[in-house]
Formats: sequence, C-alpha cells, structure tokens
Amino acid sequence: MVTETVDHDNNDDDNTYNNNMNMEGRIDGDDDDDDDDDNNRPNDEIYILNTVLGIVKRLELFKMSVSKYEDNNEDVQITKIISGKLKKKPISWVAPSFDTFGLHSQVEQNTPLTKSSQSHPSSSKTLKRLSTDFQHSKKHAFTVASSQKRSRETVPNRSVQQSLFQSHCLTRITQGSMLWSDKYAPNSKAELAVHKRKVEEISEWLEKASAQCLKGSAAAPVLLLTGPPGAGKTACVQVLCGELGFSVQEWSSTSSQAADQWISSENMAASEHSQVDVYQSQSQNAMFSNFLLRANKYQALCLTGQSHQNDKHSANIGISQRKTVIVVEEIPNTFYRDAFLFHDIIRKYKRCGKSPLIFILSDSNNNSSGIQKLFPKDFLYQLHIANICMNPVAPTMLVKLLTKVASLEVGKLSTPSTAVIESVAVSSSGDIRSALNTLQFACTKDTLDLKAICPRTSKPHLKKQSSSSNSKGRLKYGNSRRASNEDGGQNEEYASALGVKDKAIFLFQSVGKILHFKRGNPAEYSNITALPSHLCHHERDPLLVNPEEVAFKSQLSGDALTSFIHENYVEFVSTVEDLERAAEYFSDADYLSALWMAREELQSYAVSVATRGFIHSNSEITRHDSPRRNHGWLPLHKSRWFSASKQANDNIISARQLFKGQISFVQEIAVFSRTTQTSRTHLERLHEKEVLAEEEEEDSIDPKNSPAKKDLVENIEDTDLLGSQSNVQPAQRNENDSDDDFKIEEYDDDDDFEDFEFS
Amino acid sequence: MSLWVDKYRPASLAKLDYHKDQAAHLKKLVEGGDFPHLLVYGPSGAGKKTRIMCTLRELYGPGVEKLRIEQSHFTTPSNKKLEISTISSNYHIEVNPSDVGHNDRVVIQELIKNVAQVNQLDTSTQKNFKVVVLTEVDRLSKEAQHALRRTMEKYMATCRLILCCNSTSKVIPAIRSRCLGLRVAAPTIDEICQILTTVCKKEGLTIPREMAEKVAEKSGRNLRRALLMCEACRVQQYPFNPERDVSEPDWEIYLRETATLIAQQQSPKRLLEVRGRLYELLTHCIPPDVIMKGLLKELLQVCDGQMKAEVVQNAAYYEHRLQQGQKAIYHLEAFVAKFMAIYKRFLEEGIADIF
Repeated sequence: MVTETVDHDNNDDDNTYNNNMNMEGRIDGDDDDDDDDDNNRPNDEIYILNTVLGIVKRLELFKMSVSKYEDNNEDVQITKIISGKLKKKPISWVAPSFDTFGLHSQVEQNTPLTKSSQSHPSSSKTLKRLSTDFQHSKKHAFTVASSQKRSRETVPNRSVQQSLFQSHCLTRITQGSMLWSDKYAPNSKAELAVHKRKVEEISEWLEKASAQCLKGSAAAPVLLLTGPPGAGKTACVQVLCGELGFSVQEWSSTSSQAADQWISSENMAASEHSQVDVYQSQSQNAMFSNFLLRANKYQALCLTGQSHQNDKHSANIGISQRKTVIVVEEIPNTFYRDAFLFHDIIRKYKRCGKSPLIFILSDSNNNSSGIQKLFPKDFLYQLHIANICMNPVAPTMLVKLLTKVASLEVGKLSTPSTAVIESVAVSSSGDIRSALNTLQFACTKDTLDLKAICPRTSKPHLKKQSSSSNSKGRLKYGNSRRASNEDGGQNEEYASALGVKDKAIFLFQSVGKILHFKRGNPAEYSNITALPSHLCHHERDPLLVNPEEVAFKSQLSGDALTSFIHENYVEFVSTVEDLERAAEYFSDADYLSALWMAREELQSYAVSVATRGFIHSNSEITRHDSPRRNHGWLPLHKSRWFSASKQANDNIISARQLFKGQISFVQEIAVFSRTTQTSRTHLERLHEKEVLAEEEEEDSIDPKNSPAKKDLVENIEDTDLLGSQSNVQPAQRNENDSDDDFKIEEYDDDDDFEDFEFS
Repeated sequence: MSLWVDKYRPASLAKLDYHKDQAAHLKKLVEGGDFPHLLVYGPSGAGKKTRIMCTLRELYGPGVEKLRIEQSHFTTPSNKKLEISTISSNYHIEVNPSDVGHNDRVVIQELIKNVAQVNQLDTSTQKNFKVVVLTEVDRLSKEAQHALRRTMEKYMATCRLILCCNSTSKVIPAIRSRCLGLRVAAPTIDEICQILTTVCKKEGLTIPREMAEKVAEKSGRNLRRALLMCEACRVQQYPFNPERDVSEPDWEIYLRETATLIAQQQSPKRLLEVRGRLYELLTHCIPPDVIMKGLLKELLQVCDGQMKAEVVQNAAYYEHRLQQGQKAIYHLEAFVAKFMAIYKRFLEEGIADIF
C-alpha cells in the first residue's frame, strides 16, 4: 500500500517540488531575501565557493578511504579463511587489518612473483605509470590468489589507485620479513612508547592486585583499560605482566583459529579434534563464563610450546605456582545485546575469582565498542572496577620510536628522511601500530617514489612539536590546510598514499575546534589576493581549521553539531553586530535543511554555512595575531534544543491526557443527567406512602461533606417529611441536588483548566 | 453543566452569530447534493470547528451529535504500535493525526481507508459518503500531506475530507488545490461583545458593556478565549466589576518581561538570558510563532516610526523561516539578535544627534 502510493506520487512530487521552488523564488524576490544579502557580501561568495570546493575534495577523500576500508575487510576475510591453512598464528599484538600483511608475505614468499614487481618501481616516475605497473603486478597477485584457492570475487573489487598502491607495497614487503609492529614489539618497560605515568599506573594496579590475591581477600580485582586503538594498551599489559612475573591467560571469542594456546585445556583438546562443531555446540555466554572460571583455577597448557616452555611442567600438573592475569580483549557478541548477563558473570567472578581480571577495550566516539553499555558508571562503582584510560601516543614519542626503528632497518632498505617520519607520525594520529606499519610501507617503497609523488617532502612542514595531543591535531590541520592552499592537496595525496589514518574526534573537541578557531599568518601563503577596498572589512586571515573536516570527523549529523555550536557560540562573540550576523547564519543553516526531500544532501552544506558563518562574523579575530579576549575557561554546554523539544512534547501529551479526561467527564455528566431524568420520571416513581429506606439516605449523605450540601440534604429530608403526598416534588429536589453537585465539581474542574491554559 | 464555550456553541448553521453570508453559502453547498473536500482555515477561536459541526448537522441531521470517543490502534511498517483517540458519530470521524508525531502518515492512510471501505448503510435517506474531519492539518508532516493527496482522490466516492487548520501556508499546494478553501475570520470586537452579552443573559447574569469590551480586547479576538475569560471572571466575583483587571495568562506576562529585557540591554550576555527564557516558553508548549508575534507586539512599543517598518519586516522574514525550518530557536534568536542590533544602532544615532 505504502509503496504503491509513493510510486504513484512520484511525478506529482516533482511538480510540487517545482511549485515550491517557484513560490520560494517569488517570495524571495518580494521580500528582499537571501540573494540580495549575498550581493552585499561578495566575500561570502568566496567562502561558499571554498566550501563547495572543500566538500568536493572531501567527498573524494571519503571515497578513497571507504575503498580502503573495504579492502581491509576483504583481507581480513581472506586471512580468516587462509590462516588456518598457513598455521601461522596472528600475534595478538597486531590488529586484524594487520594480518593482511602477514598473509601477503606468506603467500608471496611461496611464489616467484617478486621478480616482476621488482623491476618496475625504480623506472616509474609518475603516478599514472605506477598504476599500470600495479595492475600488472596485480594480475600476478590474482593468479596467485586463484592458485591458492581463495575466494575469487573479493580481489577484483580493488580498482582504486590508492589500494593498488598499497597492494603493491604489500608485495614489496615480502622481501622484508616480518611486520615491524610485530618485529619491534616492546619487550621491556623502557621500550614502551606509552606515557610513563600511565605505565606506572597500570603496574601499580597489577602489583596491588597480586598482593591482594596472595592475601586471599574476598573480591578479585578487575581493571577496565580503555583508550584509542593503537595506543599500546595490550602491549603495555603484556610487557608489565612479563616483568612482574604474571602469566597471561587471554580470552578470544572470534574464530577457532584465534583460540590459541591461551585458551583453557578442554577447549583446546576439542578444537584439535574438530574446531567448528565444538564452538557451535556451546553458547558464547556459557563458554565465556566457563573460561573465566577455569582460567581462574588452572594454569594454561602450552601445547604450541612457543613462549612458555618453562611453564609446561607446572601447567601439566594443573596447579598454578605462578601468578595469573586473565585478559579479555574481545567480549562475546551476545553480551552487547544483553549487558545484564555479562554483569552477572562479572559479579560471580568478583565473588569467587582469585586472579586479577583485565578488560582491554578500544574506545571510539561513536560508541561502537559499547563501553558505556557494558561498563556503565554505576556498575564500575558497584564492583570497584578500576578504570585506566590511555591517551593516544604523543607525537614526539612516536617520532623517536620511528626514528629508532628506521635506524635499525638501515642498510636493508632505503632510509626515510626525517620529514617522512614526521609526517607518518602525525598522520597516524597517535596510533603506534598504524604508524609503524605505515613507515614500513614507506621504506619498502623506494624513497624515489615518494619523491615522485610528493616533490616537496624535503621541505619540513612540522613546527616544533609539543607533546600534547591537542597540538598534534593542530599540526595536522595546519599541514593539510596549507597544502590545499598551495598545491592542490598534493601533500594530502601523499599522506594518504602512505596510508593516513582516518581520525575521529569527540564531540567536545569538534565543538571546541570551531569555537576556538585559529587563523594562520598570511605571510606563509603565496596565493592570497586582497579584497577590493570597499570590502576590506570582510578581509580575514586564512583559517587554520577546516570546519567541513571537523564536521566530518565528529561523525555526527550536521544538525546535531550545528545545534551544539549554536548553544555555545554566544559566549565567544563580543559585540551585538557580530551576534546579529552569526545568528543570521544559524538561521540560514536551519533554513537550508527545510526541504524535506533534500535534507540529507543539504545537511553538510548547512553545517558549512553555520560554522563558517560564525567564524567569519567574529570581527574581533580577523588576523592570526589578533588579541583574544581573555574569557578564561568557558565550559561548553549541551544543546538544550533536544531536551526542550522533548519536554514540550511530553507536556503536550500529558495535557492531551488531561483534556481527554475532561471531554469524557463532560460527556459522562451529560449522559448521566439525561438518564436520571428519564429513570426518575419513568422507572423510579415514588409512590404514595413510601418510606425512604435507611441505606438510600445514608448513601446520599456519604459523598457530601461540605455543610452547604448537608443543608441541602436536610432540605430533602424536610420535603420528604412534609410533602410525601406529592410525588413529583422530592424527585425534582433530588434533581436539583444532583445538579448543584455537578456544578460545584464543574467549577473545580474549570479552575484546573484555567490554570493549565494560562500557566 | 459544561463550559459556556461548549454549552452555547451554536448547533446549526442558522444559529450562527456572525459570518452569516458564509453560513448561507455552506447551506447552499450542502443542499446542492455533491459535497467537495473542504479546507477550513482561520485563527484559533474564530469558530472553525463550530462551522464544521454545523455543516455536518446540516448534512446528516441530529444523528451527528451522538458522539463517541474511541481509541484506534495502528501499526507502522516498522511494527511500532500507535494509539490515537478519535471522536466519531455514525456519519463522521474526527481525528487529530499530529497527535502521533511523525508517524501521522500511517494514521491518515489507514484511518481513511478503514472509513472509506465501508459504505454508508442507508444511502436512501442519507448522503452516500462519510466525512473524515482532520484537525491541525498544518502540523502534519510533509510526508503525511503527500500521502493524504493520493488518498483523497482514491476514496472520493465514499468519503469526503474536511481539513481544519490555522494557516494554509504549511499545507502543501497540492492539497490546497484539491479542497474548497473556507476562511473563517476572527470575529470583531463588537461581535464578541454581543455574544458575551447574550451568553451572560442566558446564564441569567448581566455584564456591563465596558466589561465585555475589556474581555473582548484582552482575548485578542479569540471568541473561545473571551468566553473562558468571562466565565473565569464570573467565578472570581459575580457582580462584574469593570474596574477589575481581567486576569491575564502567565505566559503573556513572561513574554512581556522577556521583551523588556531585550529592550533594556543589547549584549551577548543578555541574549543568553533571553535564550533561556525562550526555551522556557517553548517547553511550556507556547508555539514559536505565538512567541514571535508576542515579542514583536511588545517590542514595537519601544520603536519609533521608521524603525517599526524595519523591525516588522525582519519579524516577517524570520517568522517565515520559522515556519519552514526545523529548529525554532535559531530563528527566534536570530530575530532577537537582529532587533538588538537595530535598536542599538538607533540608540547610538540618537546619542550622536544630541551632541
């Protein structure tokens, strides 16, 4: 029914749409609307043009990154399929996307493919040329793939240049050996690139926990370790456990292969027998709780015999001499649906567990990791679960680490310049794993190629870096912004060629970035044309923030971001004139999303208008060195609009309920009065010499409390006594009585009504 | 027994107090046999609903007045249960689809389908169609309005729609063109006075002429409100005293205070304060366009001639946006900011002139 209607309406819709547009146009003309405003502010046109360009560019970037992600996913699938065959256990340190490289290296070590790919890159100078090369080498890869009996259909999808480039890099890596993120995994506390204080915090917790366990106190200590991916959470725990003499038992819930030597003995034995059946026969829920209880009791068996050779003896005996730490990195899917189950298990463990339990979860701003759901605040508090939150790795540390790794690799491959290292560090946004592997790519490829793609790598882009993560973000934006100003985003291209990481930022940060916008020094820019003299009051220094980028990274709907900025912008504006213009831009932005048919498409434009409008209308900060009003620390607020509209809706609903009640009440009364009249006259005729029954009298008295009504009742009694000879009168009296009663109630009700209406 | 508003509501076209020409037209329309879809619009308290009910009575006779309240249940395609209350007689059904928010499309389609699928029982004595009365059509989502369009044509044979709204500007043109528009203008002050007097007479009360005028004035030509206010006065004290103030709704006082705040000081800080008040009004279910209107009315009092035109123009501009846009607060605030800027400029010019 619904679809049918829609189909029929399609043509008409277009017509109406046009009509609407026409009407709008007419109104605009009459009312001296938008168009004229724009004529008054040609600089805005420049802004809008910039905006549109920016959006187009962003779209392209987005497409690329999407295709990249798709690639990764395919690779992960392939890994899962093939890893069983290869018997190569992915090291837990490395994320799934990383297994890809391992896979490729495995595959290609077995084949004589390397020759063909080796000959090309040195001769290739341009990207175009490169891409053809890659297609060439890809063909080989494809044949290899089919010969390895992988699923075919996953491969041909990758047609974007970027991914070609990556896959090419992958083939080159084969000549190296391991992944660097794997090879240079930290072995000692000193090697950790994590901030000292965080390391101390974790090790303190571990020591305290072990002491607590040895003492045999009632509750098992539980730790929740969160942080962005690649911040070194797992590495940190593993290194510290190693140094403090803990053995680690790790839960793994994904595939049968991933259930490696850490998993408890029974499952292990079964998995050797037939992996799939066993894993499906038990619910994840039961498996998880079993794991926790068993891991708590027994030492791990070391069947693979790789790492814990010396443990083997004690493990076989089954009595743990060593201290154990249970680490859970992936939480079974069922718990995301039903967090209560999970909470129950943890409670149980808390009661009877003896070893410390550590949960390691990556947090992200779209809450896909479900930390909020699995570990709500009150739950953490209730069970005394400690929560340590890791920050992204500081860029200085990252640069230091990368330089060290690069120097270790000297001789085998071409050495990357410091500029390359720095841009890798910055583009990885604090993800140490991705940084290391990006660097590996960069080195595997000849630096010659890097130069071919980006001729300006020699020029250092980075200012002196401070260690705060905030400044790193700024550096990053500074880079891309300048690049797009100067040479059409080649630098960005270069960065994404290296495998730049898409960075998401939290709502607070994104709102802050817009509100505390920064401007750059125009001296650093070459192609800025000054505005004509009559527009010079619109002249602004180039912006260091890219609002579209911020909006994109905030991963919010444009509407929501705009409303958050709207809630807070007033405090950042000092004069009424600026305020007037900024408010106007917000109104414009909302108006853009008015057409319901185009709302989706126009939302990103609306954000641009709102954010850039706000920034431009701030006439105080027009120069990069304009003095800023010292407003101290301004707290940001949540948008009130959503809660306000929700409350208004609730109020409306409750008011409706009230009215509904009133309508039925009025109706009831109307009906009631009519029936009494008929029933009294027709049915309950009071006959002569009839005596008023005791109960009836009491019934009629009971509900009446006020003295006035008692008078009435007495009246009735009087009339009863007096005029029992006439049968009409008492009935009428009764009628009157009931009438009065209703009236009084009615007035009460009226008052309520008035109150509501006017309050 | 019931509120005066309901008690003395005219029940037939002949008894209407004002717009008698229109009543005659309606009568002729009904007598003509075929009946088009109607779109009744006008300010609140003008008597739209009264006219609709009178027309229905004219169509079907007193049977229309046997009303019952029912709860109808609908299920959206996404399996969400909706509940909406309808008021219906044997011949018509009245519903306010905007009660269910953005799911109104489902309600409209299902409800009209249900009604239209059953023919009138005794077509010999009655008209061969039923009537669906939809109120607050201007608050329907665009989606629902588009859905309505098709439904209107499809079930033309068995059902007629009477749409009721305050303003046609939020009704899509496609619907407007399918209906016979019927504007019910607000009654004049005189008409309201007359009605108040007659109602009071029927109640056995006397109301002085000044008092009636005062009430009519305060009501803003809203007859329903005038009657309610009059009744409230009656409750407060009976022998009507023209000197005594007619109690005003609290939100109007609040709005006036807000306007004073705007006129007093023009600064970002003050705007924040005003914003808080605007939110307060919105959460108390005062519609944004009413807020805009009220603010304008109060603010105009501090303006001089030329500025008035500018302010009114801006108010119209932002009111239009308010109707079109999503978030009313943006536009209300933009208007306030605009006024602040204009007023500040005006004040500064004034000071410059003095020196």
